Amino acid sequence: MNLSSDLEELLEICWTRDLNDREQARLRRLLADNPAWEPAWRENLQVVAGIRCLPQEVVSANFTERVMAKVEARDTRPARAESSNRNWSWGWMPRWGLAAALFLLVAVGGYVLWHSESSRMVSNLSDVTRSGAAPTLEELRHFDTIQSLGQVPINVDWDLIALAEPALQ
Amino acid sequence: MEEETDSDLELMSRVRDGDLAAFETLVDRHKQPVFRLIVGMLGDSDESEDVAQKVFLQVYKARATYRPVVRHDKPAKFSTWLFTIARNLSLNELRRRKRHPAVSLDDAAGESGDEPLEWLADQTATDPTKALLQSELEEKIGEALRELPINQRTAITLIQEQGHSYLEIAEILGCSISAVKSLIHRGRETIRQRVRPYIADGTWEASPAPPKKAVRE
Repeated sequence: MNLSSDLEELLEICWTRDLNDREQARLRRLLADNPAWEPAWRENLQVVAGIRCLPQEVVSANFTERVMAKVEARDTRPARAESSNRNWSWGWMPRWGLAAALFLLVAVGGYVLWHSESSRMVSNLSDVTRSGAAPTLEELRHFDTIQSLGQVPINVDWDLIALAEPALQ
Repeated sequence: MEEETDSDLELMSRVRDGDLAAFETLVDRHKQPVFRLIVGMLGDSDESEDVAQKVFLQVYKARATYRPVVRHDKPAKFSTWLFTIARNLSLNELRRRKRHPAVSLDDAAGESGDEPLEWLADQTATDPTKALLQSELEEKIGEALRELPINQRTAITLIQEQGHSYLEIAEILGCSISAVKSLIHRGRETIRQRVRPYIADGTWEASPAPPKKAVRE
């Protein structure tokens, strides 16, 4: 059974304190007028009073000291953080240096490799042009046959052959 | 009360200017109610102390930006802001527990077979037997309170232990005044229904839902 709004109002007061004389007189009047409310009122009052009487947890005696110690530690932290930031940038210097050296090494190595390969190709080409006789016209015409065998995917440059034909004859 | 509120605001203003002694006074003044609210929400006094410490550190961190909300030309109480922080950090802790659940050995222990309890109207009983029965009833009421959904439990803790007005509780919980009234009413009704069989014939059934789940609702 729900309580009337008047009794609810009195019960709200009971959460924090006992009823004063005037409020108790009002309660008695309300319950005398509506005796059916009494059991519900007593149950609710029992609950509210029971909650009020629950044992109170007490915070540790040194709670404030611990909070203040943390606050003071926090206040001194920015100075340390600033110096650690500086240390951070200096601390990373060798790593940056090492990374730059590695990059340089890879770049120079790549260039040397590329250069030696090019030199080797030039050297081979000059060897071929020095030692080999120029192919005959018939040999050049056989490019079609070679291509059809699928060994070397070469496109015959007929314009070049046409230009070279007088010289070869 | 009003003077104390003004004093809180003055202290906070001094804290903003770097006065650590003022902050220490604030901590001393509010540590107990903040701690009790957190214990009411978390149910664990050790972890509650850690969370209470975080609450005050949070206050200190936010000292430069703290501006009391002005309503009807009156600044809101410092404690309303403080309890809002306490509630939020407690909810964070509950969320953390949900992500990393720990099984408590106490959870497995059910309680039954308690002595029947007569109707106790006299709260000031001096009879040792009555006092014992009363303390058992309080224990059951405490258990029923811990089983309530978190918002109902927090609202009841705030109105009963801290004596906050409905408006202040509404601000702390972030809801309307009527919602606060409803939370308190429903919480009280749930406890009443829960302890009624115990009062009648000493019957006390184990928690209807796992306590940790009830805590998170």
